[in-house]
Amino acid sequence: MTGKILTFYLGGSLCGIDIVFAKEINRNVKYTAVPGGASHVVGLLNLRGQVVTLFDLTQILHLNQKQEDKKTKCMILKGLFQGDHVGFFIDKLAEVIDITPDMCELPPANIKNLQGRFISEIVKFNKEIILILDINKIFDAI
Amino acid sequence: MLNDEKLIQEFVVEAKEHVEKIESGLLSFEQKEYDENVINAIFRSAHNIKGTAGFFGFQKIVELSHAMESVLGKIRSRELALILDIVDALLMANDELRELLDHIAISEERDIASLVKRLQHIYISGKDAQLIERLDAADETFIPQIPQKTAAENHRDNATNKMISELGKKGHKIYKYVHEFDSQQIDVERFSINMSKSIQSIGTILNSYIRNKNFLKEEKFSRQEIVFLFSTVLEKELAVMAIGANARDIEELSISTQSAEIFQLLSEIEEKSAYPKEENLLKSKQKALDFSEEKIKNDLAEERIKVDVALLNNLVNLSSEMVLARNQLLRLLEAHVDGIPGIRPVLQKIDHTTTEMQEKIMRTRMQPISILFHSIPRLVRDLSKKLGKSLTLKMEGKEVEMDKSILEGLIDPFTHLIRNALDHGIEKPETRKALGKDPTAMIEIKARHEGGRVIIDIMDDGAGIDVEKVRQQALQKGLVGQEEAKDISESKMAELVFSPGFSTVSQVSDISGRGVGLDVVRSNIEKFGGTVELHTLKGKGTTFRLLLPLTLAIIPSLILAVGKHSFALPQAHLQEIVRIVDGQETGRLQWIQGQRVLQLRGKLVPIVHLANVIGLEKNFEASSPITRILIIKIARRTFGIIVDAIHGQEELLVKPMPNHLKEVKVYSGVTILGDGSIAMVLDVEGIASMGKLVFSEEGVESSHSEMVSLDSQIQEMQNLLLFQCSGPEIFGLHLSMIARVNEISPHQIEEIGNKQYYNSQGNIMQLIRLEQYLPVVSKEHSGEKMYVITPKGNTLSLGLLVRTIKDTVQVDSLMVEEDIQGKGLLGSTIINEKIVLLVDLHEVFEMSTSEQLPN
Repeated sequence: MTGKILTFYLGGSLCGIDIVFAKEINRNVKYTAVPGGASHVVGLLNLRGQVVTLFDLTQILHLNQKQEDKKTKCMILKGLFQGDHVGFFIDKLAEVIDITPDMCELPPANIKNLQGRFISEIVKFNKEIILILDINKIFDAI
Repeated sequence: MLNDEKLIQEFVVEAKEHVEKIESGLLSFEQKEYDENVINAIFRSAHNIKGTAGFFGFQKIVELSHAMESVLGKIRSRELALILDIVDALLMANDELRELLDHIAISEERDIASLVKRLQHIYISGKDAQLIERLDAADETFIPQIPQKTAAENHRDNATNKMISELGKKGHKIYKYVHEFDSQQIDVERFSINMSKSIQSIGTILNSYIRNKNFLKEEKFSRQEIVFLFSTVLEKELAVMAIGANARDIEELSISTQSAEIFQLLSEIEEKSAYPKEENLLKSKQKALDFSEEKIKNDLAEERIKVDVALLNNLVNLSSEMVLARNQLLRLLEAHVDGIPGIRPVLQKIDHTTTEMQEKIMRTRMQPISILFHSIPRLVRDLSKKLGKSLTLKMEGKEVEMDKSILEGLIDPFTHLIRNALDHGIEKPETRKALGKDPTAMIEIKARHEGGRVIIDIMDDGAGIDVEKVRQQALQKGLVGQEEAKDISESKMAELVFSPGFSTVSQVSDISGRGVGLDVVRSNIEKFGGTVELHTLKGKGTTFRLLLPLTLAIIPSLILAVGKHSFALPQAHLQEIVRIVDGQETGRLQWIQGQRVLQLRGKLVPIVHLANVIGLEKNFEASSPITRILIIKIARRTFGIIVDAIHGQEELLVKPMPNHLKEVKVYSGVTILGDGSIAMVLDVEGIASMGKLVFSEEGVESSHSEMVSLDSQIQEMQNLLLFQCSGPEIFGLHLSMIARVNEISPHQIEEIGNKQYYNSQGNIMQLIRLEQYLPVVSKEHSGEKMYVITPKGNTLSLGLLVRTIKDTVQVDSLMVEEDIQGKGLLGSTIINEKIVLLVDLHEVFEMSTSEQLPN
């Protein structure tokens, strides 16, 4: 793809999403856990009267989840996914970068099937590798 | 014929939508190919307009839309090819339809004959016959004196003729009113407007114009004459009086003999317009005519705009969010108010504006109950015909407003109840006669607001429910045991008709009586937090009372907690709260095969722990010595839920469950609590199924006799309203004694003699200040708002005027100290380390009334 991507760390990996999906990033969020809900649903957040469902993407993407991981920062997405406002926790916010098609590659064949499905592209940037998440696919599948 | 302005408005708005749909549909044919769906949609729209217009008696609209519908029907069935000319004709008709709707009040006066005729030609001949028609028309209506008249004019003459004879048939008389203005009277314009208004109040203006009278060429000024041709049912003398005119100015024109003159007057306008000099005057005349019409148009069309319901819902959310923020702001600034000059009025303004704004926004979703009512007369009429019963229908309170979604949900239960009343409740006229009743039965439907709820009564004066029959049926179906059936009270027995599968009618009719019914009615109404009550008297009639919340979204709920998690439980299903203290009452809570049961008044009630049901780790060590059990009743099954803590009651705005969590059955929605955090709303049905509570038919708990209502239980928990009067003392009053609390501003208080009064919704209420009767500090205070506490069962129309409402608190047990004594006081107690004086409202009121009555 071409354009700006917002990058962040998630379960030890550097991930990125097309910046048009990002609505806002909240720190120190106070959310309500939903006992009985699926394990990748962390809880619900009151964002100015809107109920936002918060997800743990590390579980969906099979990334390493750090045990001491404190769920404090979350990325809220624009628009509705399956009718819900959604967001997910990130470890740390990185930067916004411009990418061009020559920086992108399709995910290598040996990446886990499930995970590979949700990663649309891989970007090599300053010797680092950024997993570009396919937001639509992820939130339509879960 | 319906004649309700609001309903007409609704019709106009709706019909205009249809007109737009027809237009865009027709236009799409010019670009694209024939599309069956589009033609179907257009057909339905035309049909809809026709149907509804018929209810209101708008004949012209019916006529035109009917003609359109016929043509469209033929196109739909492919008997007619959709050629451009036909689209053209339909579009023209559609334009006229829009005109009719825009000027709905005078729609009956418009001439649509040519359009209808054109459509009919298309319908019959299959092609546009405007040309042929023109020739035909010239033939048919050939008038020898004016042979050069065009077809269009002929048409108009025809229509005029028809109109005049119609007027004659209706008993209208036609008058000519001619008023000559004084040489230089300036107010011609105003005069004509006023006159046209007063004529329209008694009849219809057929034509009016102003003409110049040049008596003599040499006269410098010309005289002006205003001419009105109008029709009314009034006799000449009355008409003269009604419009306040001079008797000699008015002349009656006989329809039969003076039609030539009428014709002439009607066609006058065109001739006159030939004079350029009079352009201005003609305009003023036109204005006069348009005036009333313009007003009607404004009234009907311009007051509404269409708003997306989603946007409204969004506004509702935002406004409740704003209320929360306001509360936080007020709480935070409370301590600093005195330190910041000028902030108090600002805060108060924010406070008031926010409250008002929220109320208004809530009202945008409200609709009058007449939407529900207007299909009833038809239903009753058809059913009573079918059943051979005669009855009158009375409906009251159609202006009562409630939430749109509740209204929509009410349609089915409502029709069901009315069918029931007609089918089972009301006897045949012969039977009624034999019983000495009026053979014409009566169904009354009354809606009203009461205490933040809407109450709808559906009353019939029919046979009532035969409790004996119900008892037998209930026994037969095994709904109650033999023993039980003997002791159940009559009203409880009558309520059994709400049980699933119940019907006392031996024969199934196609109207009702299949045994699926009242239970569905009940569950539908309970779905949105309402309840159904039943009162019946054998031989006298039955009343179903529906108690409904004003809005769907706000549900009174109990806030409870398990571990760190808070939940909300709607109170509709909550029966009572049982507290069991460890070490006391041992044996009430027992384990049977690893499951807990509670002995509640001799019955065993299955108990689940909320933590287990929703999959939380239960921390037994942290559990308190008190076990709190919420007794839940769904339909006729009772069970208990153990929770760790109960935080209190809150009125909640329930939002739908996020789709990603839909599969979790124990929740019915989410809500935002007063502190801004989110809590899950528990679904009792879901809990029952998750808790694997299987209720067999025999196991159904069925003791009704001594159920204690929730209200009384909450009373046991001692809910106190804390408030302050002018002094620093804090007073407490039992919530159970209070009907409502109103916020008022001091200027609403009126002084009569040395007493103060307040107009509460049309009732005059005398205001009492506690400091007048109790030995407490009394100070002058000049707050901008005060509160009136209205006690329950207030026959004396007395209200308590207080300065601030502090809080409502729930105390487990009330220790009444008798240290502080005085007349009007029950005693004192300590809440949150403060002394609270408990007011004896009855004594205070007695003191105030004994003051009034000298004996």
